[in-house]
Amino acid sequence: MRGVVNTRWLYWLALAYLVVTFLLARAAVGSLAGRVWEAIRENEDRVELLGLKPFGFKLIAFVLGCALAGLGGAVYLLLVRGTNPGVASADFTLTLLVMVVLGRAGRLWGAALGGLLYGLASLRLSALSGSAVLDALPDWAASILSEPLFLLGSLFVLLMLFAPRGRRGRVDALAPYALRVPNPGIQEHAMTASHQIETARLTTHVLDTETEGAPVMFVHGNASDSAAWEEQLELLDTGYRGIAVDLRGYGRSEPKPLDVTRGTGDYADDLRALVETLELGGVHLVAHSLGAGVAYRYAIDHPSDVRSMTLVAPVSPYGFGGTRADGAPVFQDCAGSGGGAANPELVRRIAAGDRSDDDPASPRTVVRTIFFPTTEDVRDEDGIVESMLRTEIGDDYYPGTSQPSSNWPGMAPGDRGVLNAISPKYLDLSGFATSGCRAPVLWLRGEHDAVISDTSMLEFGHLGALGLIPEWPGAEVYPAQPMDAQTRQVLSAYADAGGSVAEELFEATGHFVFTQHPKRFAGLLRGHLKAAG
Amino acid sequence: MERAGLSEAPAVLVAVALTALVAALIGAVALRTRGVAFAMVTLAFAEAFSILLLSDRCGCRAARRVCRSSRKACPTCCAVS
Repeated sequence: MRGVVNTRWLYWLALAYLVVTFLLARAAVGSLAGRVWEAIRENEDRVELLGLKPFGFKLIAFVLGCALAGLGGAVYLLLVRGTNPGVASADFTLTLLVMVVLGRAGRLWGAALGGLLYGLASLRLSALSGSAVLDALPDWAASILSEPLFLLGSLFVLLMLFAPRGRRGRVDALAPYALRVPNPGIQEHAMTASHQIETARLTTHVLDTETEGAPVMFVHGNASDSAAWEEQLELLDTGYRGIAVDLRGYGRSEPKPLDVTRGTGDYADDLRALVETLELGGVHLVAHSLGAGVAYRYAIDHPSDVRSMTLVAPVSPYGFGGTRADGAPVFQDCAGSGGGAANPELVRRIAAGDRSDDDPASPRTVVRTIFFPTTEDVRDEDGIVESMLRTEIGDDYYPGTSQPSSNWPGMAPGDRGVLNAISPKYLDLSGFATSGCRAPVLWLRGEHDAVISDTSMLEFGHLGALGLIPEWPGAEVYPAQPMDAQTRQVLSAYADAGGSVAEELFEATGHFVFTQHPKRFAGLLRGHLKAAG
Repeated sequence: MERAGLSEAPAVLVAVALTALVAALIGAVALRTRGVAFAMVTLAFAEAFSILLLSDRCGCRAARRVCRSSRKACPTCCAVS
């Protein structure tokens, strides 16, 4: 490579290095390890919770990056014909960082583009500093413009401020502002009252706005309680009475075992008993996750007493875990669903009242990693943790019993406890479509919901497909449960039967849609309630 | 590398392999931390290496010889090697 004759080859050498680096990086990002890298970038805690060790994957990325940088150093040595200790200084390292930020982090060709921009800028800005253009300007402006590094540094600061994580980062950072739609109709209630109501079936705890108007019944999801709805009760429009109920085994209601063979029947009957005791008549139902399974049941049993339904991240009408697109169980014994599907460490820590974030399966960590798409999105963390800790733990409650199965993943539903009640073995709410209920349905779901979605992080088919559960028999035998597709199928059958259905997607949102975007949620609910009359 | 009698192509390969090895060692330490702390630790390693180079222009072996004769001459190098 030495000698003037070979100089022209240096350009091609540098270009070849660029191409080789790009191709290698692309192959790496596209590999299995690359998928884990992306997952770590989005939410490292969630990766850890899933049982992968981020450390090893980060080390691979670190070593690969350094080796490529080493190769780059060899090319650089030839290009500049020699070296000096200055290239090992922090200045040079930071220059490389500036290039990456200029090209916007988060995409492969960004670094190449940034390098090009930086190279051009440093050449042009140096030329500018000596040009005659500056003579025409006032002294202070000329002195600023004649400092190329000052200009580059300012550009760097501006980019860091407005595009901290590249393209995606900027979109996410701006999202909360875009969604802050002014809503003059929303008034805050002074307070919600907490009552224990003696019904014919259960001592039921409720939060009640005690306002005049049509009753809106809020039903919480699994491992949660009425407190999750407190904010929405306060945001509820005037002219309605908001009541958030604690289901049996949750919150401050009396814990009473379920008859799992009735699916969500016991919960729905408890709700009916509450409606009768309070003499509410027809109610608007707002239900989250498991609560939606209760709402479907209630609507099937009392079709004319439902004024409207708002289903938030609703459990699939065919139950949670181990079903195919048409709702049929993967195996006869519904293996992969029921009480054995819960993380035993999480169960133990809820029972122990663990408020720490010591373990990937601590309730607090689960809130951060599973209930919200990223740690930055988490709202009301303490409130959600407290709700979760009020979950009754045991064989008759959460998670319930399990029995061994010869089918993958080796366990099938038992006959006690909530996860068995919502397993496909006992839960089939597809009859909602032809129940005779005609209440308008609003379906709200978060784009990155890790609980209820076609890619649920708590469902064995999807976990198997991700390679996290050994010996997964493949998508032909045990596909990931397409929960959203199943809900859509039942709701479109409902629409065909004469009901109205609207679906609303919350971008970059997790399982707790109404906690992550309370005002947008309240606005949509307000419109839906109004339209239902 | 010249001293070791390597021509350019093998020298590059050896250099890349050494870089990867050093990266694995430093990464094993630095990756125990996250976020800002991670950035600080890697920068600290970079600075240490930079100072090491600045204080010793003729390779670490020569440096060690110098160190033995006069410890004041290159304190950083003596601390590292």
